[in-house]
Amino acid sequence: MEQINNIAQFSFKRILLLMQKTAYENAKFTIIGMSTIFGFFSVILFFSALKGGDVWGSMNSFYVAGFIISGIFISGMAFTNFRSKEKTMNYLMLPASTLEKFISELLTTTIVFAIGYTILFFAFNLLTYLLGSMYGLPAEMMNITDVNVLKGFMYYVIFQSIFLAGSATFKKVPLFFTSFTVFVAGIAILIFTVIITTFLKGEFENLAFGSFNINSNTFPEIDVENHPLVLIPKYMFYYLTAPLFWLVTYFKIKEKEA
Amino acid sequence: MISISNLNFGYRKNRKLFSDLNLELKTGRIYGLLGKNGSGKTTLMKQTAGLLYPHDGEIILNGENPKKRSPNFLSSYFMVPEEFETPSVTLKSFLKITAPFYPFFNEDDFHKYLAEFQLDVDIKLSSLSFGQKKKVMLSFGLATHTPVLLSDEPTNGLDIPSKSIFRKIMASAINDDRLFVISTHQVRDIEGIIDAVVVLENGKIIFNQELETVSDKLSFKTLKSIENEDILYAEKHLNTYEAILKKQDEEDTHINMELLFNSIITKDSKVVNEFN
Repeated sequence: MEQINNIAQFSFKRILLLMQKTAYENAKFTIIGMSTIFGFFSVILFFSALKGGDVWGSMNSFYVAGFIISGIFISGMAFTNFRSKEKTMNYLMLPASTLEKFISELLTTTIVFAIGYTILFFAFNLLTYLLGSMYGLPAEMMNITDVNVLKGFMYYVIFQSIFLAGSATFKKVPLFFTSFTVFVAGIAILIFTVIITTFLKGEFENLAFGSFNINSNTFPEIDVENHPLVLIPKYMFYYLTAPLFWLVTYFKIKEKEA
Repeated sequence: MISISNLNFGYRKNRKLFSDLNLELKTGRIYGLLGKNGSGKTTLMKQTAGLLYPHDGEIILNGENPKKRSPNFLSSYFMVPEEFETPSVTLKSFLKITAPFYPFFNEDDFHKYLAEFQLDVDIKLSSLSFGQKKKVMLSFGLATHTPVLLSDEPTNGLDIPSKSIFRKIMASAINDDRLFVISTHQVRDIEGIIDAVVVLENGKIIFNQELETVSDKLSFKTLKSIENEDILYAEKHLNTYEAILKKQDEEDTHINMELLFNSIITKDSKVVNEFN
């Protein structure tokens, strides 16, 4: 058994060891979770096949949906060691720095998860493609470079960061509490957006929540899409959410030490 | 070595647990950290392990400040807490994922200690009883060969034969480069293995002596009456008295740890005064 030198403050080898530890400890949960996702996909595809197999050609959508849902579960359950006082103690005493512990969880829930899920999905997709070809269903292989798939990755990173922070914050049922917080925050953002849009338009008429959509057709007299009041929050959401919540996660781990 | 100077700490702002606490523990020894429930033993252990931060003062463990929580510091001690949770993996997997963090871990020693405790390596941690888990953690902690081993109530959950094995293993594992601290309120369990005794009472170190010194100054005897002037402390047991006396002759007597502890925590203890 090869041991590491712990004099260095930062070590990639320790990060790999931490990732290995996480993988071993969460193997059961990951296998159950992935089996549920692919089992669910199989059920949908089976019933679709009975009606001509419309959805067999929507593998990109399956890929993105599964990626985001299972990724949220994986991220939301990341810091299982913070669920009890005893486990927290063990985790804090493990010879690795806070930064290494954070990076290992970040890499596990982003890159490692993405690669693992993609390989599994590819195998599943290959199987459905072969079955589809055999039974004359409109099966297709997913295209990872599709613009919607790439957008899915972007949204995943945002949700991953939020649920990772949630798992380091909420001691009990972090998935539920993070989902609830996201829901409340979503409502707050919606109200904020309505206020901003009303401010831009000058009045609130014709703004029904059901058909609410900010674009140049809604407000022809204003270039809404390129207005700074819309652009700034939009880009902040896309590019700052993940780093912000990763930072929150890091400080939440630091907080557990004190 | 562990050096604690002017430690101040309290869970509440207006209620201090430790007030200017000083303590020095040297390598090559097994220390018994004794105290009643709530005396601050576990808190002191946590402070030393960097799991709680002092409000004031300094702790140095093996040349490192626990507050910095560097990987080097974290791998210089192993703590077996009173209560702990183990991951739901096999013992072999636990070994594979945890041992590499400790640079001096010795797998052969681990197997040797497990065998002493009559445990097999082909087991799942979650299927073990609390006592068995404790044996695994003690074996693991000893096999890490960290300079410092902290164990909080290590004999809780161990059956009587295992307590005896625990004493044997601890005594065999200590060497000049290591320091063991055993915190317990079950003083009989560490009789015969500790080199020094530290007694904590209401957040204060009221006694800190090597057992050799204790042996040089005190005699432990069973007496029929307690009319002797040299008696510092005595407890009645049926028709006799278990007593601690000032040592008068060269003959060393067996240290009755429970009696010593009881004598120390007595108000205005004559035994404590004997060492001041």
